[in-house]
Amino acid sequence: MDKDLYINESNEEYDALVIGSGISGGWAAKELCERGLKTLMIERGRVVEHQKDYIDEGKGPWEFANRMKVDNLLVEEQYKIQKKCYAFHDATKQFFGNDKDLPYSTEKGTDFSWIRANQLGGKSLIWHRQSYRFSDNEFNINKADGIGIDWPLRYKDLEHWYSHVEKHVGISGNYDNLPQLPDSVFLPPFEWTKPEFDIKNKLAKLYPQRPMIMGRAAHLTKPSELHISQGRVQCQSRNECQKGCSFGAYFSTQSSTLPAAAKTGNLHIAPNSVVHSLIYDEKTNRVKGVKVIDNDNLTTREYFAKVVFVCASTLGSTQIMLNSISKKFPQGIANSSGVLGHYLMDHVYNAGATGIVEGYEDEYYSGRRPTEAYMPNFQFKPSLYKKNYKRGYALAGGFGRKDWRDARFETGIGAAYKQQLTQASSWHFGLHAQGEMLPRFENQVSLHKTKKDKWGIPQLHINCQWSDNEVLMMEDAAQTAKEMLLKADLKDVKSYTSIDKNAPGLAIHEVGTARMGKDPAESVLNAYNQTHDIPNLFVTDGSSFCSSGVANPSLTFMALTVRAVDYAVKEMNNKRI
Amino acid sequence: MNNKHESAYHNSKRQFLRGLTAIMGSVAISQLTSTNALASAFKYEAQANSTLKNGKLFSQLEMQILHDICAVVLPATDTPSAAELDVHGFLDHQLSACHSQEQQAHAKNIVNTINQQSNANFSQPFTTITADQQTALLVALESQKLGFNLENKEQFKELKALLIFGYFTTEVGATQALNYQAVPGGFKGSVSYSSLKKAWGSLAYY
Repeated sequence: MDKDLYINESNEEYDALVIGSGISGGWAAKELCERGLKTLMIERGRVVEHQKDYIDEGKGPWEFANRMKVDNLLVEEQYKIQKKCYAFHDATKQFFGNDKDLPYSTEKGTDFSWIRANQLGGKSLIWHRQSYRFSDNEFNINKADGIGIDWPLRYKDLEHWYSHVEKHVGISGNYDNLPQLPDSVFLPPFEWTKPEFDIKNKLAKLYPQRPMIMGRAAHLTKPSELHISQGRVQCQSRNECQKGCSFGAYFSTQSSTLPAAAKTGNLHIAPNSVVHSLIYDEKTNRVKGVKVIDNDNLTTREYFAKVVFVCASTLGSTQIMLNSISKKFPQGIANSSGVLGHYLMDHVYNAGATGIVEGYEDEYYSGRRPTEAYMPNFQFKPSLYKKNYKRGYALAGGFGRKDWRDARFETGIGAAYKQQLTQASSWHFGLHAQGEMLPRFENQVSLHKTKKDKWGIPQLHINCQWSDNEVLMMEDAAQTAKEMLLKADLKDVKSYTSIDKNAPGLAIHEVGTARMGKDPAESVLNAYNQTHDIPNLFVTDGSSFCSSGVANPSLTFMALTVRAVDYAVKEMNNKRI
Repeated sequence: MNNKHESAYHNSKRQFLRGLTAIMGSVAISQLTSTNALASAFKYEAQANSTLKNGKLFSQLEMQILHDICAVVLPATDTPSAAELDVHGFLDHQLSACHSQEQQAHAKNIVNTINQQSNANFSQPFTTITADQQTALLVALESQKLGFNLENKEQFKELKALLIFGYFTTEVGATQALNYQAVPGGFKGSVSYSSLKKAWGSLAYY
């Protein structure tokens, strides 16, 4: 990559600053650069270069110090929280934050698992790549049941922008034509295995209102000319994505948005630049720039621009805004409403059921499919709610044939047992809930009154808990999943709930702390992710959400971001910014 | 070593490199495959002499017992035994590096209990009874006979599970005892199992 891309000190006034380089920041930078704006992307962490810095890619488990497990001492010292993430292991740990350097506190009696990825590319390197549009059911849900405020936009406002990003990203999926889950612009879907396909068809007959589809994922099953021109090639189904992928076969900032932005010649990147706060000019009511602390040597510097896009992740963006204090905004910048930091949500992934599928002894698969079966939310409007709780959940499928990882717990000694361990045995299939979390004022992040991190920035204090609604939803999801698996003739079906064991955060879908809304008195952002209070300040990551929805949020981060950029540039051209 | 399987593995690794080179052209492929210097400094490597000295966790005597447990649980067949692959050395390393003190204590306890029950039942330590007697003793352990109790059974279950993990995550275990795909080249939802005869050893997560 061009060395001139990276800067440290700069007195230049850029057209735009983008804080963050993850899914939202990458898109903001690309779209701003392509519209001709001189753009500075500010990243708090180190540079991760595509291909070169995927240091553990292509290695077998025997090539790791502890066969991909992480050393006890290292976990204890640096990764006590990050280790709770499903994707954290010895081959991916370099893309997770160091808990020792990134402290935060939680309210007594509460807990929150904040998963971090502070490097160029952010969480786009380690995301699960599931990609779904939000439907109007999602945008309408707060209005429909009266919990939270109404989203200030609808599906038709985002439809064009979803298509715009999907063509660039590359989403594999099937055209399913479901009212609760609008289709994207698709590349071919991944294949079903035979047992999954039969279960899907059995369930379709038994539960016509609960279709099961192939999970839609940001993988190049059949790259287009555009993808090939980005230097990306077809997905090889290694399913080791979080180590980084030199094929560029899944969407990340590095594989997709960064090269496009850099190609324009309008992009610069300031790595190792921890944003302390936004610099506000009361006379003009504009953000002038940002104050940055160097990640390594802790010196201070500033960057300036005409417009600022905050894309630092839901909690990261909120922390920066809360720490940007002025006479006009004593409670955090653009926080005249007082709702900044409130209404934190995640998804609730804490229930499901699994069982054994009999037969199919000669059926097997080849490759490691990087997506699963998916049953979209079937309680997507109030008339479909269960009696004892509100809203709904999707179910993600898990599948495979059992192998030595299961058989090693069985009794057996000697050659026959060794032979048994080398064999694939029975098929298993499961359904795992991904539920909506209600927006609640009490679920709040604030700045800790005394504790600071090593950059001198006040630590985030998180007060977030599941409500009874989420608990009741998970109890129902476990029972419902079990019932469906039994009716689909699975054996040895077992259900589970784990909401009592897992605090919010682990779905890594935290959203809502700088929400959009029509009324400036109860929201931070307008329908274009522009702050109500300051015209040249935009926040386009998950913090803008009014509800968590049920679908995975990343594709909506992208669509909201590109729509906001389009709006911002028009406003700039019309001299309103 | 079984040459057929070994070449299958090297084919798959070559396929990965060739695939990358063909597709990526100018990328420095060596950077993708070189071992991280820091990790390799502390990396567990199979050793031929694990039983000749004290381990990190186990004494020399315990290492010898563990060696024989490995040899009996997963003996040599058309692929090497767990003992030949130094899985006992792996167990000593892995328990020290990645497991709790409680799990370490369980492992030490069950190794010594096996030796005690060998003395009690055969009037000889575990390392000097025949392989058939060793097998009979471990089978008895799993069914709580010959003086073994439920706690012994549970501790052995833990140790055996880690032993098997150690075996199938060696290069030989993953690529010869099982089928290995470094770069599958795409996903096929239906292939005939009888044509493969073995489970996949190339799993995304272990």
